[in-house]
Amino acid sequence: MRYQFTREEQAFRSDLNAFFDEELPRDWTGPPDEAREDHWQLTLSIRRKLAERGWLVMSWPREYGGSDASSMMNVIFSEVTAYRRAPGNERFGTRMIGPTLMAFGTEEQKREHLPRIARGEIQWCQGYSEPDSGSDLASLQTRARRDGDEYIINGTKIWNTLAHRADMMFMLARTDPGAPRHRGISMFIVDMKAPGVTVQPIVNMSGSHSFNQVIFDDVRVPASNMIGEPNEGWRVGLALLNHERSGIDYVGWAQRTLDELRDYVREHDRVAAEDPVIRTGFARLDADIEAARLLTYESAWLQGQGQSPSMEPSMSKMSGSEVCQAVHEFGLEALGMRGIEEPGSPGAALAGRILKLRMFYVSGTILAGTNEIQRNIIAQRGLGLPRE
Amino acid sequence: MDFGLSETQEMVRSSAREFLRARDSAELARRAHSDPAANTALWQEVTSLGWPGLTVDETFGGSGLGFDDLCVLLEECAAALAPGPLFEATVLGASLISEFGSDELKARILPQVAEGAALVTLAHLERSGRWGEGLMTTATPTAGDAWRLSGEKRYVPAGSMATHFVVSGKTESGQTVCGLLGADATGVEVTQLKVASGEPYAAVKFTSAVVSAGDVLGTPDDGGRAIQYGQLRGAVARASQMSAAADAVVRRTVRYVSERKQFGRAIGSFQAIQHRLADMATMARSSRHLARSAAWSIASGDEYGIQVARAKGFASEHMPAVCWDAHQCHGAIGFTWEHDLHLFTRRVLSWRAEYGDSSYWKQMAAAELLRA
Repeated sequence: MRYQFTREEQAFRSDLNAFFDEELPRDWTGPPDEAREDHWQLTLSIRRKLAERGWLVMSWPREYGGSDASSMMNVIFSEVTAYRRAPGNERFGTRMIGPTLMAFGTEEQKREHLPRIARGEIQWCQGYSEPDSGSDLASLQTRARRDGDEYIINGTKIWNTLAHRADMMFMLARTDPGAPRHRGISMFIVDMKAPGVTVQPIVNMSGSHSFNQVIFDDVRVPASNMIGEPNEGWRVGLALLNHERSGIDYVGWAQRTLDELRDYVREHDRVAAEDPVIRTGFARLDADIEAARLLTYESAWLQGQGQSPSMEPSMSKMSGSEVCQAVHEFGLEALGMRGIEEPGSPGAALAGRILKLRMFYVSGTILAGTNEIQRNIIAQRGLGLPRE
Repeated sequence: MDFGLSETQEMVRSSAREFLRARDSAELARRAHSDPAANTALWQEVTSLGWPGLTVDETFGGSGLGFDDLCVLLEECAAALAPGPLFEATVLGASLISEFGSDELKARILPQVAEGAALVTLAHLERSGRWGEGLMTTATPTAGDAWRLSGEKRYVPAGSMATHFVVSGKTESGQTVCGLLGADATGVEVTQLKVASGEPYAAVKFTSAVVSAGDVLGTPDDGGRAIQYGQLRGAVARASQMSAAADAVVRRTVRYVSERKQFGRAIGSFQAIQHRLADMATMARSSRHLARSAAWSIASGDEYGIQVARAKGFASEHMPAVCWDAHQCHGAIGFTWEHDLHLFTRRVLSWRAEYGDSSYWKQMAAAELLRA
C-alpha cells in the first residue's frame, strides 16, 4: 500500500495550480457566473489553453490526441480544477461522448468529433432525462423514426446542462417502441442548430441558469449520427454513465469552501474560532472530506488497474455529494445571520457565496444518479444483497 | 391537555388561509426576490383584516388576543409563504411598548400599530449577527434625560418597512438603554439587505440619533430586560413559523411522491422514501408542539425560559433538514426556481439563526439544566 502520490503526479498537480495562478483573474473566487458573458469567454479561453498544454484530454489514447495518462492523473486534474473553482473543464465531450465514440463510434464519427473535442473547440450537452423519465431512464419516450437515410426525432428532454451554449448533443431516443424497454433505445448525435431543436432555459433554485429543457419537433438527423447499432443505445449510454460516476468534483468544492470558512473564521471571527461546537465541526468535516477523497482515489486506482469496480464509484459519488452539502450547511450555521445574505447584499460575508452554493449543491445528491440509486448499487451490485 | 385550537384560533387560521390562497401568496413570495415591493403588496388588506393589532390591547384599538393566538396566525402565514414581516408588524414592537413603555408612549404609538400606520421593529443585532455579544452601539446621555445613540445595527427584520425602531445601546457604565426612534429621525440611515427569504431586512446606521426621555423603554438599567423580552417572543414566533413551514413541506412532499411515478409505481411506495417522510413528519410535528407549548406558556403568564430554548433550539436544528429531505424526495423538479419548495427552504434558513440559533439556545438550556 502507498497513500502518497508519485513524483510525476505531484509535479502535475503543482503545474496545474501554477497554470491557474497565471490564467485566472486576480482575486478569483469562482465559481464562474453563468450570467456573465466575460466568464463564458474566460471558460472557452482557458479550455483552449488546457488543450494546448495537453491537459484537456490527457487520459485519452495517444492516437486521439491524449497522452494515455492514468485515471489518477485524471482525478488530480478534476480535483485541482474543482478546488480552484476554475472554468474550462469540459465533461460532456472529454469524459463522456469522447470515450463513448472511441468504444462504439465509426471511424468517420471519430474523425469528425474527437479532434475538435480534444482541442476544446466544441461544447457538448447530454439528452437523457425527460419530464417522465428520471431515475427510470429506460422508460424514455423521445422517438426517433427512420425515414430514408435520416431519423426524425420528436420529444422532450430536460435538465440539460449547458444546452443553451452547446454546439452538439448526444442523446438517447426510442427507435423500436415494440421492443422491451431497454432494447428499443438508440444513441444519436444531434446538431443543436438543426431545425426543430428548441432550448428553453430553466432557472435553478440558487437563482442561476445552468440547465434547460430541449424540445425536438421533427428534428432530422442523418442515420450516420447514430452511435453504435440500432437499439443498442442502452448499453452504449450506460457504459458512459458508469465511466462518469465520481465524487471528485464535490471533494474539490467541499475542501475549497471549508478552507475559505477556516480563513474567514481565523481572520474575522475569533468568537467562532474559539467555539467548541464550530471547532468540532471543522474537524469532523475535514475527516469526512478526506474519506470521500480516498474513496475517489481508490475508484480511480481500481480503474487504472483495469478493473470495473462495482460499488466504489457509487461510494465516491455518494460521499462526495453529501460532504459537499454538509460543508456548506456547516458554513451557514457557523455564519449565523451573516449566512443568510445573498450575493449582492451590501457587505455580505464571503459575498453571499456560501448560501448560493448551498442552494446549488442540492443538485449533487440528485443528478448523475440519485444517492438513493447509488445506495441501491452499493447494496445490490457491491454487497450482493437481493433487489426489493 | 387540549391539543385542539380554540374557536378564535380556528377563525384566525381559516380566514388567514382563505385570504392568502386567494392572493396567491406563493407567487408574491417568489416575486419578492426581484421586486421588494411584493413584500408590501398585501399590506393594506392585512391591515384591514386587523392583523397588526391582533395582540394590542382593546383600549388602544387592537383585538387583545394572546401570544398563542398570534402564533396560530404566524403558522398559517408561514405555511402559505405570506410575504412581509408579520411578526414584527404585529407583536414585536407592540409587546415591547406595552410592557416597557410609559402610559404616554403607549397611548401615542399603540393605536397607530393597531391600525397598521406604525410598524415597530427591533434594531439590536450588530455586524456579527449574534445574540449575547457585547453591544458596540453607544448610548450617551444628553439634555432633557434624552439619549444619543450611535452605531450600526444589522439584520433588522422589516427594517426597510419600519416606521419606528426599538434600538439598543450601551452606556459608558455598561448598562443597556433601549428606546424608540422614528425611521425618519435625524441620524437614521437605512440600507436594504438582500436575504435568502426575500424578506425585507435592513442595516440601520444611527449617528447621534436622539431617543427622547419619553421614548425610553424601561429604565437605563433594565433596557436589557426589554431586549430579552423581545428576543424570547421573537424566538417562539420563529419556531412557530419554522414548524409550520416544515409541516407544509411535508404535506407537499407526500402529495408529490404519491403522484410521481417511476419504475411503474409511485415513488412514495419505496420504503426509502416512506421512512424519510415518516421522520420528516415526526420532526415537524414535534417542532409544532414545542413552539405551541412555549407560546401558550407566554400567553398564560407562566414561566417560559427553558420552553423557549427548547422550541427555538429544536426548530433551528431540525427544520432545515426537513426541507433538504423534501428537496431530495422531489428530485430535479424541486431544484427549480419555479417550484415553490425552495421558497420554504429559504424562509427556514433565514429564520434558523434569528433570535438565537440552535447552539445559542442549547447553551441557554444547558445553563439552566446544569445550574449548580
